[in-house]
Amino acid sequence: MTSVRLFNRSRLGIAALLALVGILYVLPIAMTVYGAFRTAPPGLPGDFSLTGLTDAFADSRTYSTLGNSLWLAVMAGLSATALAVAFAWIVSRTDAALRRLVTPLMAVVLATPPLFFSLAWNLLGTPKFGLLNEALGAVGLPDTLAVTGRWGVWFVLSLKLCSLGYFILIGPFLAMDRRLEEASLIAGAGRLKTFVHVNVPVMAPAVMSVFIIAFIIGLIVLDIPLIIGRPAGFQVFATQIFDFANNDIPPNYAAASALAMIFIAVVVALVAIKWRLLDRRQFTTVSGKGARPEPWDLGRWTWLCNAVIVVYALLALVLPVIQIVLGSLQPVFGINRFSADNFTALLDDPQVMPALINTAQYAVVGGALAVALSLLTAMVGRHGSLRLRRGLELSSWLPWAVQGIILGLALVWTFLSVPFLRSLFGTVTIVLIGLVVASTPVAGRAMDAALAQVGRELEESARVSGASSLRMGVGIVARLILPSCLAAWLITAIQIAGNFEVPILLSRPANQPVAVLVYQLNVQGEVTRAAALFVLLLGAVVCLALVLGAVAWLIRGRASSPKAPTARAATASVTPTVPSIPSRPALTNSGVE
Amino acid sequence: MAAVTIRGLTKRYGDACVVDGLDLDISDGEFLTLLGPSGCGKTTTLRCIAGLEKPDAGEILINGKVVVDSLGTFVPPEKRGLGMVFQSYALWPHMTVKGNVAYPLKMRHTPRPEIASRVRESLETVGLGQLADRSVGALSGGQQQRVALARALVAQPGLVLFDEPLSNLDARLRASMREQLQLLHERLPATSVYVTHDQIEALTLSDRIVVMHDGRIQQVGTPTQIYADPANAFVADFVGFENLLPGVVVKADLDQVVVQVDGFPEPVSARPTGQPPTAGEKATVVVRANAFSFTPTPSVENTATPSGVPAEVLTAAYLGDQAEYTMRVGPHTVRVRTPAPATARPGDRVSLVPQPGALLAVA
Repeated sequence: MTSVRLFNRSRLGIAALLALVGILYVLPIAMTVYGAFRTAPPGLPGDFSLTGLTDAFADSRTYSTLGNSLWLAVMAGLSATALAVAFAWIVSRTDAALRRLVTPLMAVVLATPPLFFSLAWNLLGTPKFGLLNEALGAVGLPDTLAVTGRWGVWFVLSLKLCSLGYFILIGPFLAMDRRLEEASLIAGAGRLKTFVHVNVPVMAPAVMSVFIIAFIIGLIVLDIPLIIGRPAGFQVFATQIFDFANNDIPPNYAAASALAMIFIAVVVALVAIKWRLLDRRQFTTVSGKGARPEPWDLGRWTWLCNAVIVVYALLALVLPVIQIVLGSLQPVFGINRFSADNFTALLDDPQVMPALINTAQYAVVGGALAVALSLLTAMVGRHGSLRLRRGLELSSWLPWAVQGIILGLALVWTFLSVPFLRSLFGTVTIVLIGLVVASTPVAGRAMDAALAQVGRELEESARVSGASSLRMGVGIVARLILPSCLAAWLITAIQIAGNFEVPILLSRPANQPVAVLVYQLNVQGEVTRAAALFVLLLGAVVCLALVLGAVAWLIRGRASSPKAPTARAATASVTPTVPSIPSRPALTNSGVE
Repeated sequence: MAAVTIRGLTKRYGDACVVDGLDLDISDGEFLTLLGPSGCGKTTTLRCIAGLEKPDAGEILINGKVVVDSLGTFVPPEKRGLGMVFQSYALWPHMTVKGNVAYPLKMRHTPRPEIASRVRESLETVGLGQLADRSVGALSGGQQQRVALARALVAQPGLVLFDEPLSNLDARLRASMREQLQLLHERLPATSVYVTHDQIEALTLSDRIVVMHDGRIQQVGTPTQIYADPANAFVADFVGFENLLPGVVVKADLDQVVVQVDGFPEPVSARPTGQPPTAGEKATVVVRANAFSFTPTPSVENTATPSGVPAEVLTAAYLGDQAEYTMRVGPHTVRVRTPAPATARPGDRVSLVPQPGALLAVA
């Protein structure tokens, strides 16, 4: 009888969860499609018409931006995939001395918002005044290297996407049975032939999914093209949507939605292809046991691998950080007179403090909500029926289609058109909801990985010992993965703090986060002040990380004191904050992750 | 056909010396097994022969040709013309059964029609002719093993290496694969080097067995020699001598030594294996559990009969057609196995009699 009652109660909860997931993920997509056929801006009375579609498709800009976006998606997809393969290979297969640096480096790059790279490379690549050009000039080379336009966007996006690809690939690369290569060598194939006939085809599914993910992000990314590409006239899909909704007078929301609809269709098709084509070909799981043998002895090629790592570290992390920090101290960009003027000006700015508080709220509360929601869906998915699991899995794919600016646009429609929600527009809540939706995929992956480490027996023994499913969930599972939850919270908070694509259309001065303010300062030409504000943001994030790190450390210290095997599971689950073997491919809101 | 010569082979991982100055001659067409517990260096030795590891010192000749030496010669694995069966099978998951087996021939630039016929032939040999177009992921463990075998043999290499090929199979399958391997080796002219930790595999398959421990050779011999005349206590233990009784040699002849086993009332005679020890040296008397018989001792006061050793039964277990006992003899616990039914019970005092010639004295 108890089980029946429990069953009914949990069924109610599951229904509520499904409804919530539906509202968060499905409604925005529906509203975007609805918006594409409206004559009036969101919330105003209007009719259904095809004006939005005709506006969007009669505009010649649409086709050039479509071409640009495809170009960017393909090029960045190819280069990021190639880089990711190279790094995964170096780490898993060679004895290059610096290979141990790669994973931490990639983790930092992955966690850093693309807005940071856009700002930093915008400054770095400024002719004459950028750090890079100052260095070039100092050694007598022409100091006119400009990171801008399509190649600039491609370059910066590749650096960023490489880290995402790396984390998708490193698991399969490490899991690949080395004997497969050895068997090929014994059969008489050299290393090159072995690479072509064995390594490449075995890794093909994983590599292909990296390409598809990079392609989708390349198609939708807004901040890098906006800051680096547009000043030189390089317009892409996302910047065009941004223009329709933000810069056209009056804003043409219908045209923006029409473009967004194309994008949603493309992404749904790609995800479907990926799902059907690749997910059932899991080659890397076919392997027996066998010790992990030594990596390839590279001999004199070691230096090349080390050089690749050093160059990447410089371009993707060291130089941008130096540039942002230096820039923040230069009242006039490129003039090496340093002062704290930017910071004092920021503190005097009445917009800054509220924005910082908003961002802190978004990051802390939004991060916690996203983690809690992901944990809940992951737990339900773990215990639910197959159909339920499939449904939840599908809904976790949906954010693929509504990311970044499109999510922002979708939420504008949702909140202004649905009567009950209209009062929330312009408040902190709407931005918070947008950011939670945008970051659940990241949090979800971390939770999946964490839960995968908790053996089913641990739960079952709790149930057998008399714990209800709720007590088992809270007392055993949640307790065991608490460190992972904190880590996921941190990662999600960082994503949210750096996200400006979602709030850009949603925020008004009252609810705008720092990231939007940084962008606005940058647009106004206050590049060094924007850098200074970003330094403040980074400082806050580092503080948050330290606090959470200390908490996690305390918990871990306590958890590992009893000698139970569960303690090991708890500590082990701290690691997959950036899961190396994703149970489903990375979902991102803006190429951030 | 290929003979293999190994001289002074040494391989270290950091401080650990995994193979320590190993010398070995493997003759043409021989089936040689490297036998030993895990970590003894047998797999490393095999991988050095294959060219998958570079030794730190020593040289290896295959068919008289130096493939690796300390002067810097190193023939890579793909140029050594070998076949190898891996413990994990190492079948390429993106190829069909046929594709896997054809691969070594393709790499040797065999003409296409010949590849087809030899692949078919090779798959027939291992009994998988009808599965040629399957994906390897769809096969059972035993079938995967046979594909790996077909792939190793298809190019008719002079030397085939086996790295614990049967250890992932269940006991029944292992026995039948063992028989198949034996038949194959008899039919094919190749030299085989086989690594295992399973003494049954080693005994049934090999022409010669090399027992290894801590990177060194403990004994080289035919299966009969290894089984019946272990050279030292380690080999005896490894090939299943249940009882190892340390003692001191009292008297030594060429074919008979008398050893005073610690705690035994009287010295016992044993047959020395290998170099006979001299009096005063330490020696271990080894004896299999099934080489004993015993008679009940009527009363506690009664001492041993002239040929028996007094013992007390500690445990008795019924194993179907056999009965197994542990018995206390002085400070030792001796394992005894006799045909069933069990005739003694815990607490009984018995007189333990080894079969003639069953006691061996080893170094």
